[in-house]
Formats: sequence, C-alpha cells, structure tokens
Amino acid sequence: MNNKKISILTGLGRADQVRAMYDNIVAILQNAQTYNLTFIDEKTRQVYEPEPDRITQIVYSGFAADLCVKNMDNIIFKIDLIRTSAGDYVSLYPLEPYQKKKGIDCQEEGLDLAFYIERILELCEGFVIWEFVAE
Amino acid sequence: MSITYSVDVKLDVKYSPANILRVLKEGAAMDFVYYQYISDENPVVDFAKAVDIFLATDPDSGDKFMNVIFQDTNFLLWFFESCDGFLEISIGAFGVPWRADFRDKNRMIHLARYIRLLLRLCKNSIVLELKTDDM
Repeated sequence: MNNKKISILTGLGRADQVRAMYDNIVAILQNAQTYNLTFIDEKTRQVYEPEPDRITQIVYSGFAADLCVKNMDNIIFKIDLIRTSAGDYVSLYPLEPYQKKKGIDCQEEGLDLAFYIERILELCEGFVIWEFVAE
Repeated sequence: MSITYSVDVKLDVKYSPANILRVLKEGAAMDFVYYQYISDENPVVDFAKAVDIFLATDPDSGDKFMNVIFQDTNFLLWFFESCDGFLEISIGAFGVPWRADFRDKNRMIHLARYIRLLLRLCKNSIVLELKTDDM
C-alpha cells in the first residue's frame, strides 16, 4: 500500500480581520458544496455540516482546522486551513483510497496528483493563488 | 507573498526526445501555436526538428524554450530533466490577458487557469509534483 503523504498548499493571501477570514471560510465551504464535496467525521465517517464560526475561531487563533471530505466517488481526503505570517493556506492530504491512474511509460498504476490538484483548485475558486506546491 | 512567474510539473515519464515530442504534439492538438522566437513570422510546424534544436541548445542559453500562443494568451514552455531522470515541464512568463477579479478585488493573473492548462497538457501522464516558482 502506498502511504505517501501529499501536501498541496494554496496561498490565499491573508485576511486581516476575523470577518474577512470568516467570509473566506464560508466561500471555501460554498465551493465544496458547489463541487459536491461532503464533510465527514474522520473516525466515524458520519456526514456533518461544518460550522464556519468555529473554524474561523480555530484558524484565526493560529491553529490548523482539519476537515475530512469525500467526493461523489467516495474518494476521501483531508483539508487543513491554517494561517501563517506569510498568509492563509489550504492544504490537502489524500486519505485511502488513493486516486490512481496508469500513465504512458508506466508499468503500474501510480498516484496521480492531478486529481487532487483539481480538487483544491475547486475549493479555492475565486481566490488569488499566490503559491502552489504539490509534491 | 511571492509573485509567481512559472508553474512546473514533474511527470512519471523519462526525459527523452520521444516524450518531449509527445508533449509538443499534445499541445498542438490543444491548439497551442509554437514559435521559436516571438518575433518569428511563421510558427514551428516540424516538431521533431524543434526537439532536435531544443536538445542541441546550450542548457544555459536563454533561448532554450518555446514561445506558445494559446487562445488570447501567451507564455513560454520549457523542458527539463530532473535529477532522477524524469521529464519536467514548465510554463511561465504568462501573458496578461488571463487576469481575473478575485474575492478581494485584486485583478491578478488567474493562475488556476494556467495550472489546469498544464494538467491538460499532461493528462496522459502521472503527475509526480507540481509547484509554482517565482524564479
């Protein structure tokens, strides 16, 4: 089993005020809804509705907010929202099962980051992307 | 915050003339029009010859790239060999038409469009890494 951990960082700029960060988080949650992503509890896998107020408090306090998400094909991944001195970031970590594909020149299927890159671009639709790292 | 000048992707394919040629043909199928120099009157149509010229060009030369016109934008296209022998593709020096108004009212280069364009160019390969670079 491939246990590779992937981090995709998307710089969103930096919200100077709680209200601006709240608006950003609401926009990200709305993007998730638009693209048919469902929020689930990582342990129980129960669907829940995330609370933007609570997420804002966590992130604005300097901690990372973890959200576990699944798409319509039941591919599960985790999103981290965090603020740093450089800006506010969204990170994405694939969880099992990985989305794999067979590329040219490849004997076996491999983990294709393109799938996850598309998902984080959808989540961050409408935001300026300052930095992007997927490796 | 950094200003992004290029988007770089590392693919799970070997750096080889055949694979560079394959990418150029894929771009042409997407309506990329290539120019050796932006001042050239005629676009590059002999891709095999273009690959030969590309590979024969001094790696330190500023001429080791292709100019690409696509829809209403333009950018440069580079091919590199990673330290472990894989093909790396970069696009950069983005034309200004692909700008957009974002949530914070910044009118910025719509980087997500270029990232998606690069993923489209590489759709037959497994993406190992993708990152932005401020050169």
